[in-house]
This record gives sequence, C-alpha cells and structure tokens, in this order.
Amino acid sequence: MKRISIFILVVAALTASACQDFLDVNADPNNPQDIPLESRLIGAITMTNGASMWRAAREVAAVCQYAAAPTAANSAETWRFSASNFFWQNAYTWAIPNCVDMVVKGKAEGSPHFAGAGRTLEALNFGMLTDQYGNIPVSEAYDGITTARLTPAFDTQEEVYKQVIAKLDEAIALFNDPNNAKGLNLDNGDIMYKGDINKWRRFAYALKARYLNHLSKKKAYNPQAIIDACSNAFNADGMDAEYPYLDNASATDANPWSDKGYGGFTSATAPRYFSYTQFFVDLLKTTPVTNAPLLDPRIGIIMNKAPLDGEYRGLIPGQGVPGGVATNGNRYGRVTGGFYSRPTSPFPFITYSEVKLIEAEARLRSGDRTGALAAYQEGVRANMRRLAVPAAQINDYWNALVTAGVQQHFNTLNGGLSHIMRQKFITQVFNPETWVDMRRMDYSQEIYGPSLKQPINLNPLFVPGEWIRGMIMEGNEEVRNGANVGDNSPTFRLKTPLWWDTKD
Amino acid sequence: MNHYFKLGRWMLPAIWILTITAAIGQNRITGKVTDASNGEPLVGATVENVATGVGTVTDLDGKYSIEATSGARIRFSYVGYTTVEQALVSGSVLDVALSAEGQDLGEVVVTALGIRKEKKALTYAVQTLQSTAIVESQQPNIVNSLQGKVAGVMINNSSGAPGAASVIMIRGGTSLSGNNQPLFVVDGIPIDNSAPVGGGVGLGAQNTNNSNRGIDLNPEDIESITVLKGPAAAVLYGLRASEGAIIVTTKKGQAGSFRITYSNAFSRDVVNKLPEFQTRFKQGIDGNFNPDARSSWGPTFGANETIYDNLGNFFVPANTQRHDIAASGGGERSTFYLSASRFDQNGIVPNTSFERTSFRISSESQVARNLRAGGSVNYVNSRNLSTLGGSGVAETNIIGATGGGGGGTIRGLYNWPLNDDARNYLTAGGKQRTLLGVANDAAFVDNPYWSVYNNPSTSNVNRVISTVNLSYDPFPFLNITYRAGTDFFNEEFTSVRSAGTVIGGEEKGAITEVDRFNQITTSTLVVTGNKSFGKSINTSLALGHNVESARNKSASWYGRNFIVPTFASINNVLQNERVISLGGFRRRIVGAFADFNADWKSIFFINIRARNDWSSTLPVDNRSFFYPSFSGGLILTDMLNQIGITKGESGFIPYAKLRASWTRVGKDAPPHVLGNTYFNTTNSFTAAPRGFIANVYAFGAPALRPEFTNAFETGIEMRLFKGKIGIDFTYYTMSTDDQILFTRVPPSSSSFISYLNGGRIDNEGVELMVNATPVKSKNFNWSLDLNFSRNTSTVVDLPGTLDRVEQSDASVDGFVAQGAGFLGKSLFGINGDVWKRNADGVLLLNSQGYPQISAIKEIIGDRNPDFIIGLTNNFQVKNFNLSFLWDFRIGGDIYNATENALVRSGLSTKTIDRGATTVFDGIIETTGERNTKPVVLNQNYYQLILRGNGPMFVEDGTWYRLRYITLSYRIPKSLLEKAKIKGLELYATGRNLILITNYSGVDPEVSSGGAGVAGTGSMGMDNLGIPATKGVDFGLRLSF
Repeated sequence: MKRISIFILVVAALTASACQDFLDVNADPNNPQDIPLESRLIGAITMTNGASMWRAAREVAAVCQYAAAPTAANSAETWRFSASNFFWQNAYTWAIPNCVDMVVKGKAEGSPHFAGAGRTLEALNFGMLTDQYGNIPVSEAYDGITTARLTPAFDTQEEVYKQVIAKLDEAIALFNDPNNAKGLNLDNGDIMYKGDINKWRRFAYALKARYLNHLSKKKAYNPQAIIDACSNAFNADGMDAEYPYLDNASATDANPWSDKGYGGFTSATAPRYFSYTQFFVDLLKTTPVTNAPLLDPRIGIIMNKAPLDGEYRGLIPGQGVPGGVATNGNRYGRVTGGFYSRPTSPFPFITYSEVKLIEAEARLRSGDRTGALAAYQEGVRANMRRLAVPAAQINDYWNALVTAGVQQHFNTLNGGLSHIMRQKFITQVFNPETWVDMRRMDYSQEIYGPSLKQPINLNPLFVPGEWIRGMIMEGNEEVRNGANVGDNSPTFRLKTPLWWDTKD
Repeated sequence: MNHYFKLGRWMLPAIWILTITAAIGQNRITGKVTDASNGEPLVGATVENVATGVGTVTDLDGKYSIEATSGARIRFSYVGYTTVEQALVSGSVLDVALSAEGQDLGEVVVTALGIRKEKKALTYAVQTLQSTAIVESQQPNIVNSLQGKVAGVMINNSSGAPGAASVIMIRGGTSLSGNNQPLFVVDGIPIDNSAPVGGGVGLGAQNTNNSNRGIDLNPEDIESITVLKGPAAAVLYGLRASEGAIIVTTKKGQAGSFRITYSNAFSRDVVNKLPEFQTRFKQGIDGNFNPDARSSWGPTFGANETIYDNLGNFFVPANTQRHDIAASGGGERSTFYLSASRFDQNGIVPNTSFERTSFRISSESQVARNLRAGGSVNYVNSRNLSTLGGSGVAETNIIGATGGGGGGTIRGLYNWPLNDDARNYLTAGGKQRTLLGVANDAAFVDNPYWSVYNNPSTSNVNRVISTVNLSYDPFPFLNITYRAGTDFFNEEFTSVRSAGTVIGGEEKGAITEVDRFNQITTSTLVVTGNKSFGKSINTSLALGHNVESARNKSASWYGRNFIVPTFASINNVLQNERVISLGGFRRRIVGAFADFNADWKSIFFINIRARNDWSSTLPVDNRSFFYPSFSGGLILTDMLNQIGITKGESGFIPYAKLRASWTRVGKDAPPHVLGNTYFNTTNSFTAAPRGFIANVYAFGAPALRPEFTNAFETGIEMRLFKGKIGIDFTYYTMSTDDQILFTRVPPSSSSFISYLNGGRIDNEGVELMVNATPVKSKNFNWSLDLNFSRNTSTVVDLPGTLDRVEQSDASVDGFVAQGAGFLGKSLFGINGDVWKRNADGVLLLNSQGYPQISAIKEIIGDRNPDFIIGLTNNFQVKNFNLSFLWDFRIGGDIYNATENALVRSGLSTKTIDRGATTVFDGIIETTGERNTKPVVLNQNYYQLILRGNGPMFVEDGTWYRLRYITLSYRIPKSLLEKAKIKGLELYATGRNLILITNYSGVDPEVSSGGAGVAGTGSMGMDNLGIPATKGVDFGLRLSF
C-alpha cells in the first residue's frame, strides 16, 4: 500500500495537470472567504453600533457632560486627550469594511437593498468620524475591491460632507430600486427593521437631515432641504434606528453602558462613569430659558436616585466623588440600570424624536415659528412615549412648558434653540451627536443653562471660556500615515474648530 | 505551470540517455586502514562501496578487500574517527589513514538533500558537529547543543523552564515579519521545529512555556549535525531553506560489529541569577501599610521585622535523569540501529517537568547487488508540565470578562511584598491565601505557591518520524536515490486555572485546551550521474524532484466556571460558558532542481545549482519561481604546486582554499493569505458581531509575489603550521527584497495588519572558525575550537511611510515595549515607551512639572549583539578528557520588562528614592517655560510615569559564560576485557557554572515569547520568565 501511494504521489507530482490540483489547497478550510450578503448585514449593524458609535461616544459622553467618573481629573472629563482614543480604528476597521462589502456585493448580485443598507451605515460611520476629527480619508478609504492602501489621503471635511450626503442619496435610490433579488431579512440579519425597506429609506433620510443640519454655521445651510429630508424620514413611533442588546448572553452582547456590558461599568470601585452629572440633572429639573424648577417625568426613568436620601444629584465633571466613593458614593445614583444603561437597552443611531427636533431647528431658522413649535412638541412627546411616560404626565409636562412660556421663547432664535438643544440632549443620551450640537451652539449657557460650566481640573491647554472643538487622531494613524495626518498635537486638534464649526 | 511542464518533459528522457551510455567493469580493491595520528592499524573499521552499498570490515591488521569498479567511491568509517570517502583513480590498492573526529580535510559532509561531499569540494560555508560534541553539553534540546559551537548561529532560551523553547537564528534575520528559523532536516526529511505562538484562548507564547518541537529529537541518536549557513549551502532545499538549514544525520548500524551501548546522566540544577529587590519598604499604598495590598508602596520596615526572601525561597533544586540504550550492528548485507531513551527532568519551579520517551529503529539492506534500501521509524512522547508564565491570562473577552485576566506565577512572586511570607499559601479552611488587592493596586495575581499546583499547564506530544530510502545504481556512473518520509505529531495542550483563583473572570475556574495536529510529508527523487573527462576533469550532475505537503490542524476551546469546583474539564462548564475554534493550514510545494559539479584535478571546483518551486500559497500566476546559485572553490596550495610555484606541501601553510558564491533563493507566502477572510471574533472593546464580519487582523493580498534573497559569500580556509591550526573565514552579504510582509497598516486602510510585498533587509557579517591542536602526543592532546561571528541586519526599505515593523507577539507586560525593526536601523530594535521631548531632546513636562509619556513609542535599543564568541577547549590526558566551552556574547540590548513590572509592584530598587522631591530639567509643554516646579516622586509617579521612561529599562546584555565543562574518564580496556565490556566512560559535567554580566535581571539569555514569535522574535525581551539555571551532571557510557 505504501509503495503504491508513493508511486501515485510521484506520478501525480510529475503530471502537470495533476500538479495544478495538487497545489490548489490555498483556501482556508476554517475561515470562509466569501459570505452571503444576508449573513453580513447583522455584523454591519452591530459593528456600526457597538464598535464604532460606542467608541465615538465613550469619552465624548464625558465631554458632553452626560456622566462622570468617581475619581478626580478623569482625562476625558478634563479634555486631556492623547492619541490613544480609539474611535478611529473601531470605525475604520471593525465597522466600515462590513458596510462597504455589502455595497459592492449587493450591486454585483442584484440586491440593491443590501447595497443601500451598506451605504446608509457607511455614511453614518463617516459622518460620526468627520464630526470628531474633521478631515478624514473617504475617497481613498476601503472600497471593497483594492487591497489595503498604505497611506490613504485625507479629504477635507467639506468634501467629506458632500460624500456623506451623496452616499445617503445613493442609498435612498438603491432602496427605491424595485429589482431586488434578496430581501434584507433573508437570514434574520436585519435586527433593526426585519426587512422593512420603508423604514430603511426613512432611516437614510433621517441621517441626511441630521448631516445637512450640521451646516448651520455655513452659507450652504438650506433649511428647506432639511425640512424635505425630515418629511421623508421617520414619521411615527416605532421607527427609531435601534435594536435591543441581549441579556444573559456574553458581555459583548449586552449594552456597553450597562453593568453587564463590556464598557467598563463592572468595576465596583472605579467604573468608567459613576453617576450622571449635575448639569444633566439640572436639565431634567429646570425649564429652558427661564431655568425655573420643573421636574421632568423622564428623570426617574433615565436616572437612579441617590441610595442615601432618594435625591437626584449629579457629579461635577473633573471633580470625582467629593470625599471619595467609600465616604460619599451613596449620595449619587449610579449610571447603570437606567433606561439607556440596562443590559437590553437600545443605543439608538437616530430616532423619530431627533428627526422632529432637527425639523424644529430648521423651521425655526427659516422663520417658521409655528411649524418649529409643532415639530418641537412632537419631538418631546415622541421621546416621552418612547420612555413610556404616562400620557397624563406628558400632557402635564407640556402644559408646564407652555406655562413657562415656550411659545414666547420660540420668538427668538436662541430661545427656541435653548428648548430644542436641551431636549436633544435629553433625548439623545450618550449619542455622540450631542457633541456636534454643543459645538454648533458654542457651548452657550444661554442655550444650555447656567449649569454648563468648564470642568474642574481642566487640561491647562484651555483658558477659561475656551472649549474643546475636535478630537486628536489615533497614534496608529499618526505613526503609519503621518504625512497625511499632519499636525496631531493636542493644542491643534483639541482647540481648532472643524470646518462646519466656523462661520462662513 | 509551463516551466514545470517543460522540466518534467525533459527530465525523464535525460535520465534514460544517461542510463544507456553505461560502461561496466568490476575490480577487487584491497588496502589498509590506519590511524592517521600514529599509523597503527584500525581493526574492525567499516569499508563500504558507496555505489553498491556492499560493505566489509578490516581485519586484525587493518586490511580489507572489496569489490568495486574503478572510479567508484569507497567509504571508510570507524567509531570516533571521521568518515572518509575516496575514489580509486587507478590501480587496485587504496590505503587510508583515518583521523579522530573533526580534524581532517578528507571529512565527508552531508549537504543538502543527503548529498555527501568531501569538505574540500565545498564552495560555501558549512560546519559539522559530531556526536561527542553534541552530547557533551548535556542539553535535552538539540538546538541548545549547538550553542557556541557554530559560528554565525545565535541561540536563545525562552526561559529556564524544563522543555522551554529555544530560538535559533543563522546569520541574523532576513525577514521582518516572517519566519527566521532555519529548516530542520533529519536523514533527508524536513521535520517540524515550530513553536506555537499562542497557547490557545487567553494565552500567549510567554504564558505557556511551549517547546520548539526540535526538542523531540533524542541527542543520543544523532551521529552528526551539519549547519548549512547561508542560502548558497541550502539552496537545493528551496524556499524552506532561505534561513539556512540544520541537517541531522542519525546513527546507523555498522557492518560487522554488534554493539550495545548504555548511557545515563543524573543532574541537579539550581537557579543561576535573580534580580535584586528593594528591602526598605513594605506592603501598602501611598506610604501607608495595608495588609491587602499586592504591592510594596507602604512604610519602611521596622528594625525587628522579618524580611522574607519570597523569590529565593520559591525555587527548588531540580533533579534530572536520563537513560539511553542502543543496540546496533549488522552483517555484510544489512545493518540496524535500535534505541530506547527516557529523559526525565524536573524544573526549579515546583511541579514543573519535562519528560521524553523515544524509540528509534533504523535499518539498511543491500537488497540486490546495486540496490540498497533502508528506513527508520522514530516514535517520541514528550510531556511538559509548566506553570502559568508572563503576565498570565489575557483578558478573556470571548465570553466577556472585562478588566479581567492576570495571574502569572512569576509575576505573582514579583508582586509579593517581602513582609509577608508567600509560603503560607493556604487558609485554615484549605482555600488559597492571597492578597486581596486595593484600589490602584497591581493586577490580579494568585499566590505563586498556590498557582504552581492549581494553575498548571500540560503538553503531551506524540510524534512519529518515519523515512524510507532507496538507492539504485543501474550503472557505476549513475545513481538514483529516492527518499520519502513523514513527520507527524499530535499535541494536547491543557491549561487549568482552578476554582479559587483570583484571575479576573475565572474565579470559579477555567480551562484552555488546544489539540494540534501537524504533518509534513516529503518525497525526493535525485538522479546523479558522474563523468570524468580525461584524468583531470570530473563532473557530476544531479537532477531532482521534490514534493512537500504540510498540513496543520488545531482545535482550541475554552470554558470557565466549573460546575463541580474540583474537576477541571470542559464538560464541567455550562454550554454558554464555552467557546471553541478551529484553525490550521495546508501547504504544498513541488520543486525541481539541478546540481552540477565539476572539478579540475581536485584543485578547482565549480558548482552550479538551480531550483524551480511551485508553491500552493502564491497566486496561480506567481506560483512558479526559479532561482540559481553559482559557486566556486580553488585549493590555492595545490594550484601553486600544480603550476610549479611551490614544490610539495608547505610546512607553514600546507593547505589554503578560496571560495566564493552568489545565490538567489526564493520564498513563498504563508498559507491562506491571498484573500480577505471573515470571522465572528469579538474584540474585548467592541460588541459581539452576532455574525460574520471582515477579519480586521489579516488583510489578504491577492497579488503576492515570491520574495527573493540575494546572497554573496566568500571565504578562505587555511591550515597552518603542519596542520596544527585551521582557519576558516567567511564574509557574506545578503539582501532580501520585496518581502512578503505581514505588517501593521494605518487603521484608515480598514485593517490592523495586512499582507503585502515590500521592504528590504540587508545582512552583512563575518564568521571566523579557528581550530588548533597546540599539543598532540601519545598521552596528552590539547585542541581548541574558536567560533567568532558578527552580523548586522538593517531595515533598508519599508513600504508606504512605515518607519517600523512591530513584533506584537513580543510585547511585554503593560505593553510598554515590543520588538520592532526600524527603517534605516536595526531589524532587532526595541520599540518602547518614552518620555515626551521636544526636537532638541528637552523633556516636555506637564503643568505640574512631571514628565509625560509620549503617545508614540520610539526605538530605544538594539537587541542584536556586536559579536558572539564560542571557545571550546579539549584536553586529553591518557584516559581523561576535559572539555569546556566559553560562550561570550558582546553587546546587544535587553529590555528589562521584569524590572518595569517591579517598579509597578514597588519592589524595584529603582523606587528606593520614593518620597523625594525633585525638579525635572525640562520645559512645561503648555507654557514653554523652563520648569521650576518641585514634584514629589510618589507611587503615582513611579507607576504611571517612570514606567514609561523606556531607556531606563534597556540594559547591555553582554555576557561571558562557562557554558559547560565536562570531565570524562575512559576505563582502560585492559580492565574491561574480562567483563566482556568494550568500553566504559564516566563523566561529570557542569553547566553555566560561571556567568559574568552587568545585566541586573535574570540570565540575560532571554527570549520571553519563545521560538514561535515571527521576525526577530522576542529575543532580548526579559518579561517575567522563569529564570535560567546552572547545574551539574554525572553519568556513564557503557558499551559491550
């Protein structure tokens, strides 16, 4: 037998045709090199959310003053950013290729709806990236066809915005294509919309409205285009771009902001964020513009009461828990366990409520005060419904706002913006989108109220009254693509406003 | 495939043409075999016709008679003497004088593909070690037996653990990210010498003390090891041998003599060098005592307080025994060799060991007048029991522990405060007594005493290496040799963390297991024809064909939270607490080669060789690649005689040879890297993908091209003073261009690591071997061998704007440093954390006045030694033999990550100035003003700032060591004759008894990640390893 097999081996090796087959063993037997589209969508969604958006939000949640750590001088809270903030790599490596592959494959296989879903999520990733870093590689980023580019060139943010909008327009066109071979939920991979293409299209329009609205400081700002996009975006409850995380699975299946997630909340002594901030508490306890007391019914749904006395109390960014956690920890309710921070909580990309608040801003800026107020009211009510606030309490809250003068407040731009932005802050908990709003509003106390202050123990790069404007790029990019990254010093990156953050 | 097709078409006809031009003529040759040193006849020496394989032995007068055609090569061998092959040019008498091993120029060297060559005819650098030189160093790992004995070869142990891997590099590294380990060949069959990079889920190479699989070879079975140093020597092995080759020839039976040998060794080892701890401060945090703290940031010791030597107490003397028995012999037509071996080694860390049991049988037969057949089977069982090394278990993220991981027995020792006796490792309730830890404390560690018994790792390897060979001489000038063999093994690796551990996420126990299967099957056909033109010119042409098929499969699984706490098994965890994954590869290579040799009067030699490979790992269009080698040698002394400038042999320079070669050798890609792959792996900082996503850790490259190394080598060999001194000097340059790189890319390219072609490494070096016999007389011999080598490996070019290629697997505790090749600098660089400085090198301080750690690592050292020297002395006085090897390594930096970890735990002597106030000389970065602010050197400073001052942890690794000294005594034959004993030798060996170094840590011969780490590996990275040992061996060798 051995002699025969040796003989066969020799003969086989000497025969050219057999040799070809003999050498064709380079397909990895354990890792697939081609995955059907329907098995890619779920990964594109989970990675855009749990890798990309989570890392976009993780430190920025401190900059936005949503929550604070128990120890003093936390680097994110005090804007001490270095090149080791890894949103960059999580978006580019874990999320974007999965979106782009769906575009390439979806088009090649006659399944434009997959291509549309890929483009939508891709646009969202690039949008989140540019809103933190400014100029980023888009034209020379992963295209699903060529091999790794060693030194991708950077596009200007103005160009990035054109491409993001173009990608969303393309996605909408793809969703409109009636010749679609594979439905989006073929393999139960559409964990957001179960294959409802109408919702996907509205999701793309919602993002388009968001990114067009970012240009409020630019001449190109076009309120009507935003209002048009909003009218095609989410128009009812139950359409939010979100999906629930899982409980009782692995930690990386749970919401990262929860105590079962992987986000750094499991430590008893030094969780990533210990409690919400006093600024956030104050937003939920006072009215916009007048800053009069008004308890928001959502406070108990989002936040936990202090174990010590049942009060809602928040931390001052950069200060830590005064006196230490051991002594005074019970004076603050923990971040985890609220509406946005339970294991199964969703971490929405964009919501119906946000769409209405974007519409409110666009209408306000275009002079349509009544339309703005109506959109605003629906935005607030939609979020309260989402948080399951009883209808009576919603009405009470709205009536209280009316009493406090909301209709009059909408007579001025800043009065209206104060309402809209404070509600956006409350309805977009942890979403990095909030940081865009705060920079567009120049961190104005007139908008956000007197509780918005520079942190304690602030990075001395900043002088009083000076606020953080952008994020430093990742060291891995700086080392390997330095010529394109350019000046990556904290002074330059953290203090230089992005393109949309400068007035034309 | 076109090239291949053509070659295949003309190769067979060529064989037939050679075959039909045969000429036949059989003669009887007689002669006498004597001892070259004294002219005494050698009785029972083996004489063998190489072509026919027919053998005989010399009689009492040293005489023999054998059938052979004129021109046939005759092989003469005798135990303890160098084998000689000679051709009878004319007449029928051939007398031969044999010399004791390693002395003579007539020495025959086994080169690539089993081709035997007279050393004189070699046109490239090789070096051969005979069995005595291999075994006298008393190393269980054959890689270590080469330490200091071969110029140009650098070997590093990964740790002092039994069975730990050793890293071998010949002439530095040619690859930035690929394999730099040479090819291992046993009896013509390539075998696996790999070492796993990882130990399965959560474990890296530095945690598991993995072996390099060369450790499975029993040194006692080895007749000789030839090191083919450069591509020129190894080119016939093709792409697998671009880093050189280690050619192992095993012992064979001798015709006409039956012999049984038994040898043993009993050894005792102790730790040879430990780092020093500070003994001023005890347990605590920020200067305050805390009995739960894992670190020593507390107050000073009181006058009467006990300071426990936790580190010194931990290591125990280790005992080892070895027993080898072999039987060999044969008649005129057949020979055989049988051996059985048992090696049983304990480590200096309690409950660690390495055991090896092997059996080997080999036999050769003269099946017909012109057909010889042989084969061998070697079975090995290797078992390794080790403790959790390095930084312990990585954060086990798949099931989702966060902020978890940790452990590491040695790290536990380096954390343990000295006011606490770590030996009390059990509570009254029988549970682990460990330190609970406080805020900002050192990481999770078990009590090391508890850890060694409760967190063991085991590896069990079952391996078979089997070969068959046929040699057929249809005509005296033509030989057809066919050789096939397979090497396969299965390794079962298990790491247990028992319930009760404090490793984060594994408190209820965890288990990691890997089941690895590896097989290499090879088939080689070589057809060799010889032809002489007149009396002056001899030629030979060998045409060959080679097929190699490799397969590897590994399954690994991980589970945690044992249901029954005391039973460690994957079945003892819930289904949702288990993960499993499968890996592996297939790789096939087909090669065709030609080897043309010609010589003129044995004075001028030329050698032209070429090979074409077809590899499965490359794109179909780039699959076939061809490379040639040209080399030549000139015996200067004979030449001068020939042309009449000198007459006869000069007493001063009896022999001088010049040689030069130019070689190009190709290398293929790793398997399965041409396309992007998909996985459903979860990174600990991202969500579970719940489906397939792009593999971010390996970006494929569909158009990879083979990489090529161009090597130039020249050398001179001389014997001086009537042959008392031999000198062999080699100079070489190598340039490896357009490398197949697996390198870090900017994240914006959408991958962390990508395969691509690019980059160039240049190597340049010299090797000098001197062997001398200052005294040679009947009762006293003194010989010495000196090996000197120097190599520099420079990264000349990198793709894109990359300025370095990192070896992530060689990353150390706290990720403060890793190995990396730097553009324009050394391939062996250290990429480490540094303090932030401006362009003028002035420290940029933070607003408080403390230094800041730069976000970008920099080159902070070069691990490549300036030169390596090995000096072996051998004294023989009557029946006594004393041999010792001095091994020097001069220069070469070491990154002391162990000291860095000690800074964190507060045990480092670098932390002795804690509490002092200083003003750092630098400028405040935010203001640009010169610093005047005094700052306190507190715990926070040491743990978070000082640890990032990389250059502080880079030390010179120069060492001088007495690698071994061995004294043996051969009982006089007269005393043994009555007992019918042929020989009895007693010996005692000391290993590493003297080590002189300024390095502050453990033995500077360190390589934390073992042999599996690609590129320049983890050589020179001292990272919480098990310290090296020194020891003594006693034993005997008996033959009857």
